[in-house]
This record gives sequence, C-alpha cells and structure tokens, in this order.
Amino acid sequence: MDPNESKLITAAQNGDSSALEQLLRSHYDMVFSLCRKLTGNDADANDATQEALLSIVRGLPSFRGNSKFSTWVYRIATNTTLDELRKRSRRPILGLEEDYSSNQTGSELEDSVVTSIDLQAALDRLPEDFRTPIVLRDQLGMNYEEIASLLQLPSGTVKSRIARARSKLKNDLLGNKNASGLVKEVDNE
Amino acid sequence: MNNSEIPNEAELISAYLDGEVTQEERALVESNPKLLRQVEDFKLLSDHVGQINLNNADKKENHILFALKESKNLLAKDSNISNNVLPLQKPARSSSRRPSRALILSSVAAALLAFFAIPLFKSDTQNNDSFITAADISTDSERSEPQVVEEPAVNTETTEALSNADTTDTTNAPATPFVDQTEETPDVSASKQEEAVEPAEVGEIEEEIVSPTNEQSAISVPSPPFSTEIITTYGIESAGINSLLLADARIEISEGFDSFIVELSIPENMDSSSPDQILPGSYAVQLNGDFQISSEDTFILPEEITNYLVVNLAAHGIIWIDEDPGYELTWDSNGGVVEAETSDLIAFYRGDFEGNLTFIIGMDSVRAFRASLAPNPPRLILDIQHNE
Repeated sequence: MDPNESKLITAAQNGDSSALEQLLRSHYDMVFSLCRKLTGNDADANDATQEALLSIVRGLPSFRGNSKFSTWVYRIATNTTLDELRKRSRRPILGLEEDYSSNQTGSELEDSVVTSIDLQAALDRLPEDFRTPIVLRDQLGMNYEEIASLLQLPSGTVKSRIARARSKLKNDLLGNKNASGLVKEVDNE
Repeated sequence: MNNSEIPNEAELISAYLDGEVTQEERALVESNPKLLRQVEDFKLLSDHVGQINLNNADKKENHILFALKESKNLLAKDSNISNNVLPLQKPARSSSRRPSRALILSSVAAALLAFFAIPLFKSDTQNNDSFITAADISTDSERSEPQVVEEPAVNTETTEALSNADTTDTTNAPATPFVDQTEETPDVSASKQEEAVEPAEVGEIEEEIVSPTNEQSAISVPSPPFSTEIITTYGIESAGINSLLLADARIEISEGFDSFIVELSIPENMDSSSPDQILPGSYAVQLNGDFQISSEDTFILPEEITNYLVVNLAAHGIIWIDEDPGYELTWDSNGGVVEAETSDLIAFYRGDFEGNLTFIIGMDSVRAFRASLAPNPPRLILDIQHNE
C-alpha cells in the first residue's frame, strides 16, 4: 500500500477530516464512474455515489488493510450500487439474442468511429444483468470467479453474460438491426 | 477446426480476452486469424467500458462535503456514546440458576447507572417488574442464566422493552396470549436445548395498559443489554459468528397480533458448525423513544402515527471478509418502508449505524407486544397486538 495513503487512512480513522477528504477525493472519480456504469443513468449514479461515500465513511474504522484501499472502496461502491439497483422494482432477467455475432467476419469496430458517448449509450441499453458483469470486469478488472462470488452467480453464467454483453455492444455500435434492441426471456443459462 | 466447428465463438474470444481460457482454447484462438480480429474488437470495447466517467464538479463537491459532514456526525456520536454507554456485561458462565450476590449488586449498579445516564435504558417499574441486565444468548450448553435484578422505582416518560433471547421459533407457532411475565425469567438455555416449540412468554398485556397512565406497565420483557460498544461482538461468539447480515424485514399477519420480523442471514463463507443455532445479537425495543440517529434529523413520522416502537438490533449491515476482502450488502438503504396489506402497522428502516440496525414501527395507539429471537434463519420477532 502506498505509504502516504496508509498514513491518510490512519489519520482518517482517527478523525482527521482533512485526511478523509483527501482519500475521498482521490477515489471519487472511480467511484462515480463505477456507479454510473452500473446504474446506467446519471440520477441513480448520483444517488449510488452518495450512498457509497457514506458507506465508506461509516466503514472506514473497520478497514484493516487486508486489501488495497482502492479495492475496498470499489467493493463498497459496487455493493452499494447493486443494493440501490435491487431496491428498484425487480424485472425479469432478460437475455440477448443468441446469434449476436455469427455474422461478424472480422474486425469492424476498428474501422468505425466509436465514441465514448456511443459506447455509454449502448452500455446503458444493456439489461442490468448483463451490464453489471461486464462493468465489473472491464472497469474493475475483476476475474470471473470474483464476479461470480459478488453476484452470486455460477462462473459459467458470468462468462456467458460478459460475452453476450460484448457481442450486443458490438452489434449496437455497428448498427446491426438484427441484434440491437432485441431481448428475450432466458430460461436457462 | 474451422469456425463453424467452434461451439460458442463469442464466449471463447471474450474469455480469451479476459485470460479465462484453457491452454487448448488459447491455442485455438491464436491459430485462427478471424478469431484474433474479433478479439481486437472486444478489446476495443473493453477499453471503452474501462474508461472513467467524470461527474459534474458541483455534484462531486456536494457528495464529498456531505460525506465529510456524515463523518463529523459519526465522530460526535462516537464521543457521545463513549461517554455514556455502559459496556456490555460479559456473559457469565455459571450453570447455576441464581446469580451470585456480587453479580446482582453489580447488575443493580449498572442498572442504576443506565437509568440515569442513557435514555435507551430508561424503564418504568411501578409494578416491580424484573428485567435482565445481562443475558447470555449464546447457544452452547454452558450458557448462563439471565441475571434477575429488582429495578429501582424510576418514573420515566417512555417505556422500553429490552428483550431476552427466546430461541423458540414463534412464527409458525399458534398465537398465544400475551401473558404477564414478571415473576421469573424464562430459562432460555433449557428452552433452546429442548427446541421446544412454544411461543415466547416475554410480553405483557393487560387491558388497562392501553391507558396512558399505565402505559409504562405495558411492557415487561427480560432483556439482554444493548450497547453500541459491542458492535464487533454481536451474534454468537461461541459458534464463531460475530456478524450477521440484514436479509429482510417484513410484517406478517396473525390472529390477534401482527409480527414485525427482522431476518438476518449468515454469509456463506462464515464458518459455523451449527448454523441452525445462530441467533441475532442484542436488541432493544423502546416505546416512543429517540430514533434520531446519525444525521437523520429531518426524518419526521407521519402525523397519523401517534405512538411507535424503536427497535435497535445489533446485527451488522456490513461484513468484511478477511481472506477475500469484501463488503457484504445490507438489506436496504436508510429510508426503506415495511408494510403489509392488511396490517395497520408501518415500519421505517432508519439504517445501520455502526452495526446497530434501527427500525421505527408506527402504531395508532399504544399496543402491547412481545419479542423473541429465533434461529434458522436468525430472526428478531416482535409480535404486536392488534388494536381492539
């Protein structure tokens, strides 16, 4: 752990408000980004971010340094956000078209102009059950086992959802009408 | 193998990108130019998803300032608690039914201190009710008996019920009358071991208790102590459990009473040799007590709620896991409302403050109630009599 950060953590745990502020500021952008991608919209992302920061503040005295502070913070942000999402009305788990990428023959995205806005919009359109694992993978770098544990899903399901999410994103960004916006009930994954 | 023979191409290249493939699968991808091109596409997507979204600067400032304010509130609360809260009395390990004289005297002293120092522990004893100052709710066979002490006669404006661990599962048991229980504390150890399916006799209801003048006598419940200083030792230490998660809160309807149930879950990775023996931690139930916790000063009960119970339960909403450091979910965020269609009760979840869950149960009049703990899953059950 960064010794400076370690000192800040200790100070913050002892009530040093300035140290706490530095810690919060240094991790804020990542926390918000995570919340934004997981929730799929700005309003929920802001609510989740605030809740996450409060959870971090409340939980800080319990942080024992067994993991990197950033890992701890992002775990809290993830769980808080998932908690917020669960509070919303539960929807049926939706799946994506099975033949999402069979018609792709080569690298096409690199020939397209894909902007962050396009990508964010496509990501927001993904069903939550597919968006969450891909964000945990690509934003936090969690492996499949970690994601499976966090989401309480079989590892194979995580693998499948990430692949299907990527395929859906790719097709959306390429304007593939056959794939975009098509969802169906998934009975067995 | 040509492309048509690859069973799930997208899954294969996605897993390859994430380093989640076998050697054989890796070789397959790397030997296929078409697959490698698709890997590149997924790599671009992955990079995009990994980019950081920045929030509006004003909102960022507001979020951070609010969090800092919360921190100050917590510090102030901590300071207040450390000056006022009595430490949890260590559970005695004696197997004798009656506590020693020294224990009684020390309990009396603790009780006196609690009455004058902590509103949470205020209690009325006009009817000379006995209550427990320390109850060991552990499930091992060596569990001690609750200590019974005579309360000094102290008049207070609010009445509090601090409930003892009753290990009987009452949710499936037939409704029984709320009976007077002023003579003797139930032997929770024995009842636990026998797994008796009998309703808890921890509540007290008489017709006259609805009268405001006798309001305080409505509740006389044996109790474990409740203190925010014990947040790391709630649950059953002897079973290796020191933390439980809030899984659900609900209201169930029964004949004559409604049950407010706080259900806790046990993390899968928590080692326990006897999961069906795990009970929630200490708790307190207070009639019309203080519920302003943390920075929630703006919370106002609806006007139609003329009386309420404040339920505090030591059951952490957060669990840190050593081997794979992680943060477990709490049930809900502050502000959740618990209702049932045919019940006139309404409960408000006021969050978990340092491991202590707080609920407020709104009622249109003073009602008698009884409380009990039940295992498998660990629950706090509060039976509240219907309004006649």
